[in-house]
Amino acid sequence: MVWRTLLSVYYLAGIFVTLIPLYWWQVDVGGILVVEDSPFQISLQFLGAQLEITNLVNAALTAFRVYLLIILAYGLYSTIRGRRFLNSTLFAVTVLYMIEPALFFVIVEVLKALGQLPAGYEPIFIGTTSLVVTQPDAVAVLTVTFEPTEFYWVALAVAVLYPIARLSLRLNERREKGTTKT
Amino acid sequence: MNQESLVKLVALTAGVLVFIALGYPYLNASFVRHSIDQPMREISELQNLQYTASVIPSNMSIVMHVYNPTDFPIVVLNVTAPGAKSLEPVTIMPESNGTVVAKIYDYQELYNAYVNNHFYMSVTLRFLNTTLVVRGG
Repeated sequence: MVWRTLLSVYYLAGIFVTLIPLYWWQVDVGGILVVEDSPFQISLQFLGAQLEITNLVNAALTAFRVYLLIILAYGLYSTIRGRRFLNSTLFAVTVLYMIEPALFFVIVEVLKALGQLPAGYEPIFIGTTSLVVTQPDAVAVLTVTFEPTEFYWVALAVAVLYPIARLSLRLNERREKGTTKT
Repeated sequence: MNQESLVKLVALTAGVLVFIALGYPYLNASFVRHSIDQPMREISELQNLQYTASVIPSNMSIVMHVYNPTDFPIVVLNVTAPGAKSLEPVTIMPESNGTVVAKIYDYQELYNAYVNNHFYMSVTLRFLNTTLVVRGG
């Protein structure tokens, strides 16, 4: 059955994506703040120094990696055995990563509204823009870059298999129902 | 409890155990407080820049201190005053101790403006993809 093959490939490739310690996105705010992240690890560099809080965040993200690996491994095992097991966690986190630039824009806008950051920039999805921070005696122009890594596209390609597998499963169920009625 | 729920429970337990094992050294209030303060400490050092530039009127040189010269390898000084012709921007590499000294040779008009409190100085710092322009008098 097509859905079983698709779902098996999704779970197997998902295990591969979860295990590989590569970042998915890079956000560079004028070289002052460099964020490299994936749902399983993060690197936060501020003024060239690694922020200490990343140790704690990485512990939580590694825990999520272990959780997801067990779920995906069970998904693969169940699907190969012919049982229907659907888990959309990897698909959801991969798609949610697309909104990272939007999330960053919202954070800047909220800080601006709260009067904490006298700054603004033109929102972009992927690419480079300028963030201008204005203070009474100083103006800082920061080049902001949002860039998905090549590995993110691999993860997204894997994630896309999930809705296709679900669609295939639904069509199969509908077909089977039709066959039973007749 | 069916097999699916059991696997989810096992996965969740494993995740929690991994978090405790890896996060244990960092799960204390002082670490969290210290690490949350870290960006603010870096920023406050950065903000000191606007207070460290000063002018020595006797030989009309500008002395400023860059707290970390490797972070700011290029400093551009623009010196202007109303009624005086602006000097060409001076680009200087900070010394290893962070001190930047710019000597102004064509200074008479600027010096007059300085003693009359009409002296303006802007310092442009280039740090990777950031340009920071600090103005002061």
